[in-house]
Amino acid sequence: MAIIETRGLTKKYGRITALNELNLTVEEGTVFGFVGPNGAGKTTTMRILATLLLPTAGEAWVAGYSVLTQRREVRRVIGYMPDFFGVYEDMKVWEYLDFFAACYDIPAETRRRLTDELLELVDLSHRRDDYVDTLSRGMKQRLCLARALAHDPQVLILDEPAAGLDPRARIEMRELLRELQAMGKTIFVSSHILAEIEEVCTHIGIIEAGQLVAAGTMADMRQRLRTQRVVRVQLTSQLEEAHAWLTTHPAVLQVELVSDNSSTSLRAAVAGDDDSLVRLLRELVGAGFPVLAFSEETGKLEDVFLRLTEGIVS
Amino acid sequence: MEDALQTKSRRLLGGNLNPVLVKELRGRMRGARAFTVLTVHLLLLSCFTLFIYYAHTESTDPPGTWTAMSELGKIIFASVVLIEIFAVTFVTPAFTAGAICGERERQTYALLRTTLLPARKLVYGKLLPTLTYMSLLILAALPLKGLAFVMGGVTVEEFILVLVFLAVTTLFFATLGLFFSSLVRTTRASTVLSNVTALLLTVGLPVLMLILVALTAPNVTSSWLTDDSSLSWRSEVILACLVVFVASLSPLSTAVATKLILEDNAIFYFWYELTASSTPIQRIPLPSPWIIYVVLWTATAFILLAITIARVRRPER
Ligand SMILES: Nc1ncnc2c1ncn2[C@@H]1O[C@H](COP(=O)(O)OP(=O)(O)O)[C@@H](O)[C@H]1O
Ligand SMILES: [Mg+2]
Repeated sequence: MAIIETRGLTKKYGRITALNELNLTVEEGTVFGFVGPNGAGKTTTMRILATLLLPTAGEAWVAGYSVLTQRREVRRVIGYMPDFFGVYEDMKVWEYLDFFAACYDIPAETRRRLTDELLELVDLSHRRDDYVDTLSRGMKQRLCLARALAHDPQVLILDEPAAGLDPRARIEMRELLRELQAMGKTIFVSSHILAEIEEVCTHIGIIEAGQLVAAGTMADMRQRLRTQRVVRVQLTSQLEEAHAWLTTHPAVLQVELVSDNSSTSLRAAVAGDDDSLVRLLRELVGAGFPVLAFSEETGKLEDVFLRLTEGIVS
Repeated sequence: MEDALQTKSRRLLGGNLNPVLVKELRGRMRGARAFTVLTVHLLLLSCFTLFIYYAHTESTDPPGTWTAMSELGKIIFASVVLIEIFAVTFVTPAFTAGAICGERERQTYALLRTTLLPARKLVYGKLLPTLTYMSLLILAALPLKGLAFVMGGVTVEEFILVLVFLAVTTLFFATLGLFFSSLVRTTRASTVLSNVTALLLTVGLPVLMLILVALTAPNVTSSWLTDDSSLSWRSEVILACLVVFVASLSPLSTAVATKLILEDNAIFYFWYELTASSTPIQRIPLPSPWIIYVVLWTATAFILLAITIARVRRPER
């Protein structure tokens, strides 16, 4: 069973559509990287999953509980870390954790031990008695994560945990996420730069303009990225026939008709390397289609990919 | 069995205490601010009392008689209560106006709201420390009022009434600040709204009343004088009820009106003598304004509290 699931999730802020019928599935035990450019709708999705925001339409479930009608149950199973968060200036590190542990209904007599364990986990034991606002950003981030772990949640929802961190702090965060995954937690983590989180992710989903444009295992996505090409085919006639022909071609993943100002052409996503493109062209001409132009383009999907995946393809 | 025992002992040890309440209380009492406000409050009250004392003894002749003393007691009592009304009215919302939006501004609200802490506990955790602290302010000023009591001229009933009155006023203005803090985004806006409301209630309403009375009184009196009885006894009853009700809206006019009625030894109700001609009844009983004030503003406070909790409980839209 999927531990996070959204169905037709839509959020509108006045005229702006932040989420447009988002369908998302995250399996238990995975580290799911939720990647997309700024303004794509990552934070909106996460706030809805964390029961902080009501969607305009659609539904979402965490561990089988509805975020609309079973908010308390959802809160019991999630640990949420927002993209921006504050700390109470007048609190010491241990007081901060103790306070939130109390908010999670953890009895006083177990809180002290728990606080120490959590500090140990996020490597902040040495700062136990310091005031929270003297910590560096990376440390605050880890403290906030420790806070979200107080009730031992099944699912972690982390909004851009690597943003604004220096490389060293980023590595520490990555190690921490690995450790948490090893503890059996499902981690749903967002970033606007895939390279920041790709190393820890088992799965990624790419969101743009409020829609999931691609999702799958990390290996799958790498494969698709490496092998998927988008070509634009222009014909003088027989557009429909060529469309049908391409649709049935084994190397072609997807075909669509695109029309710009004057002409209509076909856009096809093709699996394979340069050789398969050459083969496809030869077969297309061989089948008697009047091909006027055959060119590779950086299409919408790939555009997103390229922007997001700087670093994946070296 | 053992579990139940453990739960019980945990309760006794404070394990299940509202964490927000504990944190706010600690925060409020830890800094210098709590102490400073208390000191300034008491200093102001004491200086004022001293000032009245000297001003009064200078002007009365001969000084030191029993009547002069009890009169002085009355004046001191009234002044202290007046200052306390203003303090409660304007200081209380300042403490609660940042309760919810302050957490938003500090970006800790989302953190709190994704824990298992119920909305109710968050709101009470903000309200109770403020009530506690304001009670402390009021209690600290008790000796000054006690002084007036010792000097005579002030009754036990008045003493108790004033405490009830201040308690209700504190409760109402604390929930008012809390309500605005859940309504708007910034502490600044919430504070402004609370203070404007407080100003309207304490000063605006009485002034408005005086203006209304000044505008309508000539007509009424002239119609009475010419004895053409344009004011039937029914309208007079309604008018009297209305005046008492409006007087019970503002803390200031409530205090003054209650005081006037107390002069006639009437605590809970008083008789209003009808002046309209051809009336079948000579007088009607009307409740003392403090009763209406207490009922009305306590009820409003609980309604505001319920709205605030509902607003905190609901996810954003
Ligand atoms: N409170 C809000 N009011 C109006 N528009 C908002 C609000 N929050 C987000 N948006 C808009 O919704 C879209 C998605 O935002 P967000 O979920 O924050 O994206 P991301 O986290 O992927 O950067 C953006 O266009 C953003 O401007
Ligand atoms: Mg975001």
